[in-house]
Amino acid sequence: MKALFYVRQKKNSMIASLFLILACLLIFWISFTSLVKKVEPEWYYSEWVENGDYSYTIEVLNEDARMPEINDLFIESGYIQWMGFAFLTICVLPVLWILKDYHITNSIRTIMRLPISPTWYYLDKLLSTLLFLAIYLATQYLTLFGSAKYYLGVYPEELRPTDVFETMWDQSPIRVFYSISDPGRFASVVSFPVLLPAAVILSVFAVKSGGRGVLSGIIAGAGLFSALIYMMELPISIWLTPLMTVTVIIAGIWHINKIKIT
Amino acid sequence: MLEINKARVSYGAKFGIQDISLRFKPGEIIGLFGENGAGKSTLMNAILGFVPLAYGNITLDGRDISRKALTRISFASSEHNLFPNFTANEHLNFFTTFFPRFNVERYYFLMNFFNLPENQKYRSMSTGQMNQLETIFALSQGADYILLDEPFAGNDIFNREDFYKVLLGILEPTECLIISTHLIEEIKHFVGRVVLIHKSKIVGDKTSEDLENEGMDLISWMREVYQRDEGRVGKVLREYRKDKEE
Repeated sequence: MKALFYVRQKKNSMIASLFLILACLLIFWISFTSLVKKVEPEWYYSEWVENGDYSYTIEVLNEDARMPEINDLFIESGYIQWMGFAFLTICVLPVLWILKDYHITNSIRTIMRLPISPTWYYLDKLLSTLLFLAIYLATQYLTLFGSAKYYLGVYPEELRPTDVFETMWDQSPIRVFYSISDPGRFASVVSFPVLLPAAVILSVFAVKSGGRGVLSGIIAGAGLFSALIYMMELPISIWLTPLMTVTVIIAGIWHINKIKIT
Repeated sequence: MLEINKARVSYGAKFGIQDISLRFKPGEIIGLFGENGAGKSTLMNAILGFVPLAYGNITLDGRDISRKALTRISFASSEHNLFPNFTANEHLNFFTTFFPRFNVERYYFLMNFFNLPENQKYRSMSTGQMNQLETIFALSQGADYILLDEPFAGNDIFNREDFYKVLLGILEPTECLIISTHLIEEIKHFVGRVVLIHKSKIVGDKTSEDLENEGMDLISWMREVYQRDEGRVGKVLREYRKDKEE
């Protein structure tokens, strides 16, 4: 398959990035589980019972014992730093993949004279990044899910809270990626992970095209600004994010076909 | 026929090439000469569609050059245009996938002749080997028009001589070779036509026969076209010494 040639070009950076993402998730998981163990309260206390001729102790459930909120534990175990670092790595990937075609060698000139549409080049960069983003989101989802399960497992059955998952998925910044249960936000939640790499790719195209890339640069800038608005969870992002995603992708395809990036 | 009609490429207020009209026919070997920044590489880039034309057009057999028609044009330069992590064998796989007319026989002949490693990554090859490999792929692509933009910058003289000799031996009458280089002395016996570019314009276009009929050699014709002042260096040095003495 022709497209696989491009993927093979990225083999090393793909492996390195995957390793980085998994390392971030692993570090977070280790910090989280250690923290949970550390803050686990005494769920039971001993009570002396005297019963006629003999006496014994029983374990009594401490009704007041509570774990800190899962959201606080996430923050304390460095969720924002590690996940943010992994996310940033993914956002930087398309930049590296495009620049690689210009540095060390000038292979962009071989790619751009292939008898196939330049759109494939654009889609290759976008889809490879999206693939990585999907891996990141899926592994992050599983890590968070596993963390919540682990957190609940520490509780005695009688005291186990019932709203941990709801609280977890509804906290920021997890909500930014996973709040797909809200139908009103569905389009923006799904388009945000596409918007960010698409805007980054278009920015690199604009820079590589010099003076001819001004328009694309403006659109890419607007795309990145929309992504920021989305992350700030402003109400306008509900329609702005999908709209900008489509605009940025169209601009990317137009740029690669009309402006040239060699 | 590859036809360039009044082509103009502009970089802001400057011209990369302007009002260039040329016709390249199958079987021709053309030398493209000009000083640095004259527009030789821009012309090749325009043919390949790497830079957009501000005016004019470039056609292949009367039609605009489509993506599919790009299989009929190959290109090599000393700017290392291949994939850094691919070996020669992986590049072969790549080129045969995208270019259905790829000449595998010619490829292996050239690889063996120049003794290039088949399983070494492109980026770890020497500059000379990189240039050779790229030129081999341009020659083996199965293209009708082969563009070589200073392909041997960095190669030693013996290697370059070997390449010129081999080129003459392997080219088919249907293939047109356009080579841009500063090494005029080396290829003056090898090209059948010479195009001179100066400050983004064509200033001369003659075949070897034309020059022979006019009793001129390539170098003297070029000096005449470029109005090269032979005594310029001597004059400048005399003035320099005079200033120093004073």
